[in-house]
Order: sequence, then C-alpha cells, then structure tokens
Amino acid sequence: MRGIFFSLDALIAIAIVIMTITAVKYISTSMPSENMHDFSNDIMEVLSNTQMKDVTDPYVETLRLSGLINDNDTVLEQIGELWSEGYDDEAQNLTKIFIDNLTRYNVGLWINDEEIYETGNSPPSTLFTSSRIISGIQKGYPKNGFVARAWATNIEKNNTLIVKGDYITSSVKRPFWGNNQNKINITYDVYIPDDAIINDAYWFIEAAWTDSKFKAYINGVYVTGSDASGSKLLTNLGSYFHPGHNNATIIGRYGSGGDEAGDDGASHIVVNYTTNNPSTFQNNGYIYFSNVKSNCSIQYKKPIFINGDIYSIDVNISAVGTNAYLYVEYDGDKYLISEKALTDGHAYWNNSEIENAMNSNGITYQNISNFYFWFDVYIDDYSSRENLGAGRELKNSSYIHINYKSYEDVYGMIDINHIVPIYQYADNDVGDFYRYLSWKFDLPNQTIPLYVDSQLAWLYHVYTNPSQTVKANSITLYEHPPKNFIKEFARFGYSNRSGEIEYGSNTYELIFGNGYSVNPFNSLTYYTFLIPSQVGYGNTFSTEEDAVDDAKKRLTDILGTFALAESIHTNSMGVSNVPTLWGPSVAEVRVWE
Amino acid sequence: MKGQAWTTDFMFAMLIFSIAVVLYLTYSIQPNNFSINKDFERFSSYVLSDGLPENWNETDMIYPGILSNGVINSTKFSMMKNMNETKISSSYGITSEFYVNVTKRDGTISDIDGPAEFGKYPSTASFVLKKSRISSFGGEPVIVNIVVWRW
Repeated sequence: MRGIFFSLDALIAIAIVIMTITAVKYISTSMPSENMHDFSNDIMEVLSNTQMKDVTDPYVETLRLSGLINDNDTVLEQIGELWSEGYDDEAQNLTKIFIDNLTRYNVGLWINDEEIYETGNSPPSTLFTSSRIISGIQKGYPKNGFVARAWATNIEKNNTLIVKGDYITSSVKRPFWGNNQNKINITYDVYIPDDAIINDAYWFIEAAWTDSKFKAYINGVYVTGSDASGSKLLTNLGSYFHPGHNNATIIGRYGSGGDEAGDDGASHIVVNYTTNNPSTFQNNGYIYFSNVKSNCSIQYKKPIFINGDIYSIDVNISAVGTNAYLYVEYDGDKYLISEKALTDGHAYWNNSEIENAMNSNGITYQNISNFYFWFDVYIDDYSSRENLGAGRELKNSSYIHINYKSYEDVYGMIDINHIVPIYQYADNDVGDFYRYLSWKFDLPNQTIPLYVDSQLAWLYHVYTNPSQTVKANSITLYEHPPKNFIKEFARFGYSNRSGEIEYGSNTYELIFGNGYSVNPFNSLTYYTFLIPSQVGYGNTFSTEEDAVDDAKKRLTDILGTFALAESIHTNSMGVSNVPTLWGPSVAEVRVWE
Repeated sequence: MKGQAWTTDFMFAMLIFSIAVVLYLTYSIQPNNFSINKDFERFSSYVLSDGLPENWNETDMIYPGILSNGVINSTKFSMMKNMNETKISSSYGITSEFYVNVTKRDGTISDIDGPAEFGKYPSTASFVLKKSRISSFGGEPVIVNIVVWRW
C-alpha cells in the first residue's frame, strides 16, 4: 500500500506540473505584450505625423468649415494652435478623437503642463511619457492671423522749453567807489516752435550780485513788476511770448555797492507749450552765445553739457571790442586757451588750438564728454571795477561748435523735457539754502532717457573747503574730495551710462559739506527723454481689425500723457505658420495604468 | 513482497523522471525560445519603419517597412502584402513566421488594397509572440498587430 500511495502522489504532482506549464504557455501566447512606453511614443508619433489634410472625421469637418483647421498642420500642431488661441474645447475634442479607445491604458495629452484631454483619472506618480516641442505656439498667441504696426504722422505734445541763463557780468562800479553809470544789456534768444500754443511761461532772474538792480523785457516790452534787485520770479508771462523767435532782455545796473551787474547763471526762462512738431530738440552741435552789450569789459561764462562723445570743438566770437580771451573751465579749474585780437570784429579758435591747450593741461575730450565744462569768453581785459568806457558787444552770432556723436539717435523720436520738482531738502545753511537736496522722477517704460540736467542757485562761503557729492540712483557721479572743489557749482548734468537713469523711480541727490549750499526753490532740474513715434509689428490676431487696434493702443500707451497721436498711420499684414513667432511649447503624452 | 514493491516504486520513479525530462526538454530548454524573441524584436522594429531605402521597391529593397513620414503608407503596405514572405524574412534576417494586420479602434480590419494584413496567421503554432502598436493611416489612428511565431 505504501508503494501505491506514493505512486498516486507522483502522478497527481505530474498532472499539476503539466497543467501549470500549459496554462503558462497559453497566457504567454495569447496576451499581447503591450508596453506603456511604446504606447506613449506611438501616440506622440501619431499626433506628430498625421496631417490634418488627411483627417476626415465629421467633427474635424465642422471645425474646418468654421475656419479653425489649418490643413498644413500636423494633428499635434493643430491641437496646439487651438489651445493657444483659446479654443480649449475644440482642442480637447480633437485630442479625444485621436487617443480615445486606442488602448486599455489611461492616456492623456498635456501642453506646458496644462491638461488638454485625458481618458482616465489623473495620472499616478508612475507613468510613461513622451514629449515633443511644438514651435510657434504659446497660450494666448495665435499662430496664424494678422500683425500690425503703427506710427504717428501727426502728434500733439505738451513740452517745456527751458532757456538757461549764463553767467554774464560787467562792471557797474568805478575802480575806487561809486556807480560808473554802466548798464549791461543781456538778450537771450527764445525759440518756440512756429505752431506752438503757449500755455504758460515764467522767468526767474537772479542778478550777478545780490544788490544789483535790473529790469526785464520780452520782445522789447517791459515786463511789469520786473524792476527789482537781487532776484525775481516773474510769472504768467505767456502773453509776452509768441511762437517763433523771441527776445528776453535783462538790463542790469548798479545797486548798492556791488561791483558787477548781470546774470549769475541761475536765471531761467520756462515756456510750457503745445505743438504738433514731434522733434523740438535744439542741440545740433552749435551752441550760441546770447547778445551782451556793455560800456565796460564783458565776462561771459558758457556752461556746456554734451550727451555724447566729443570729436572736435571750434569757437567763433563776433564782438565789438579790442581783444577776446578764451578760457576753459573743467573740474573746478580754469585754463587759458589764448588771447586774440578782434580782427574785423571776429576771433576764431580752431580745434587744434583748443584741443592742444586742453591737452597741455591734462584735459581730453573724453574728460569733458558727458560732464559739464565751461567756455569763458572775455571781451577786453576784464575787471570788475572800471570806469565807463567804449561800447562793447558780444554778438549772438558767436558760437561754440562741437562735433560729437550722441549716445542716442534722436531721429524719428518725440523729445520731451520734464521738470522735476524738488523732492527733499534738509540740513539748512542760511535762508533758503540747504546742504542736502534730492529730486525724484519716474521714467516711463519704453522711452529712451537722454539726460538729467540741473541749474543750481548756489551759495559758497569763501575761504572754506566744503565737500561736494552728487549721486544718481546711489551711483556717485562726483565727489570732492578726491576730485577738485567746484566754486561755481551752477550746473550738473548726467546721462545714463550704467544705471544712472532707469525705468521707473530715479533719484538725484546733492550733498554738500559746511560752506556750500543750494537754494532748491530757485534751482531747476529736468530730464529729457525720447518717445518712439512708432511701434513695430506686435502680437498676432485672428482679424486684421484687432491687429490694427492693438498697434494703435501700443502706440497710444507709449505716447502716454506726454503726447497725443492726432493722426496714426497703420500697416498690417497676414502671417501664417511662422515657426519662431511664439513659444516653443512642450506637448506631452502620458500613459498610465 | 518487499522486492516487488521496490520494483513498482522504481518503475513509477523512472516514469516520473522520464516525463520530467521530456517536459524539460519540451518547455524549458527549448532552443528556439531565444531566437523567436530576437526575431520578434527585429521584425517589430523593421516592419514599423520606412524600410531601407526610404522609398524602397521590391527591386532595390534592402529591407521593407510600412511607414512613410511616420504614418502607414498604403503603397508600401500593398507591396508587402504581395511580397513573398520568405523574401521579407530573409531581408529581416529572421527564421520565424510572421503575421501583421491593421485594425481600427472598433476591431474591424482596415482596408488597404483589401484587408490590411500580410503574412501567415499562426493557427497551429506552438510558439507565438504578439504585440500591438499604434500608428496612423488615412488620417486616423489604427492599431498594428504584429505576430511572430513558430511551429
């Protein structure tokens, strides 16, 4: 019996083995060896390679009739286009057509991690994916449609003309005592665009000496209330000016003991006007002197700020007198270029004379580019105390010609001057003079900053050596010491070289030590920037009208509150299948169980 | 009885051993298992390709494939339908039999110059390897069923 039982056990075991092997064989031959990784790749291949022109599905036909199908696209590109143009349902349905009922696994399509369609629940953490980059699509940016550009053919801008006074003096006192009866007559040329509508104007006059007296005239008309001494702010002067060329004259005379009369360089004329002329930028390289008449010798200091790289300079003086002196002032020091006799009323310094004289004193054109320097001209041997003598005149045909390359191309741009009000002043010196001053301004995006310029009503306590620091956006632009002390810190300007002027908020600061201060109320700071008068092709829109509207809006946005486009010319064109227009986006097929 | 009993046990043991040897030889160390897997992988990748050269024909063909630009090319498929199976096998370097058909998602066989199939169907095969892949034909996704088998 033991033998029989043993044999039955063995037979049963054999039967189990045979059944198991048979079952295994059955399973291995009948069950498809499907692979999720293969499926994700296959589906991506199908979407990427199937051309829409071959797709005849009824739903696609309805989309085709609606103009939503681009037959030159692959299915994946078409899904991407629908998605990018906001046709989310259509993108979902097209995807569904291509991935539903293909496999027992869950399948889905994502673009830039945004689900387009999935056949099952959200994927688990383990899944198989296949990705492909689709160029030329981006959510919210149609691939085909219209683009447009626009430019303003006629604008209206509100601008500010600023005529800064120069430092001009002549003696009004005899050598030993008393009034020499001289009067210095200074006439500034004020050029207002011919089509301008003058909105407002004012004139701040600060005499050379605090006691000296003056009167002001505009176009030969006495300005009511301008008979004053020291300084005077004349407001509501719009009616005195007219479009085109204007004259503004100061006649300075003896006061109560001061040696000289004239302008201390802090005076300024401000005219607010509206014009249709987009380009009112006046610096073409010729900087003219104002007309000065006197019966004593004349001192004329002309501050110059060039927003670019200087290549050459020549100076031509037309004057009545015997001789003329030309000096250059840079970084607080003053150097003689040369003295010349006035021949037939002219004296001319060519570039070699000027550059050689400057170089011999260690100054290069690179030094004076983008930094205020001064040309000082004297008609006859200058003295602050003289007896009344022959008539002298420095004519307004006199000029400084500077050949330079601007840091910015102003062609085709709308230039805007914008006065910046004082933001903060502190550390009082005397009266209205302060040692700390700051200005803040916002530069609009998409504009091009040219420079910041300031005219400063300064006060120096003689025999002191105060520190002088200038900062723009925390970048130190000037600092004494170690640089030289500048006695007549009447001007400072800077342009954007490395973050001094930025889009958005900007700060300009002056910080002085004991012995130097500035009156913020009589000082003037402004910035000049350019606005493009045109915008290029922008986003793609499904209709030409939308593209043109967008171009107009972009132009209007750029012009902002500074200018109004009265006439806009537009140009549009249709675009399609521009592969690099947008994106790229990443499409991903995910397969999971 | 002791001697007889031992003889019966021994006979059963021999029988079991013989069956085990036969089963082992039949199912476990079948030498064709390895080569059919190799044939299957090779056939699957070659048939789902453009073939070589890309625009092959029966004359210049190095090996055929059914795709062009990532989708099933009906001309190529038809050529493979009408091609001698041995020619396909030898160009792929396989010794196994094969069968390919293309079906729609509802399971119906697609129409490519008639029913979309070629090769021999493994009705009585001993060893069958099967794979389904997805491709595109006529602007819609299709399922390509690939079978490689041996007697």
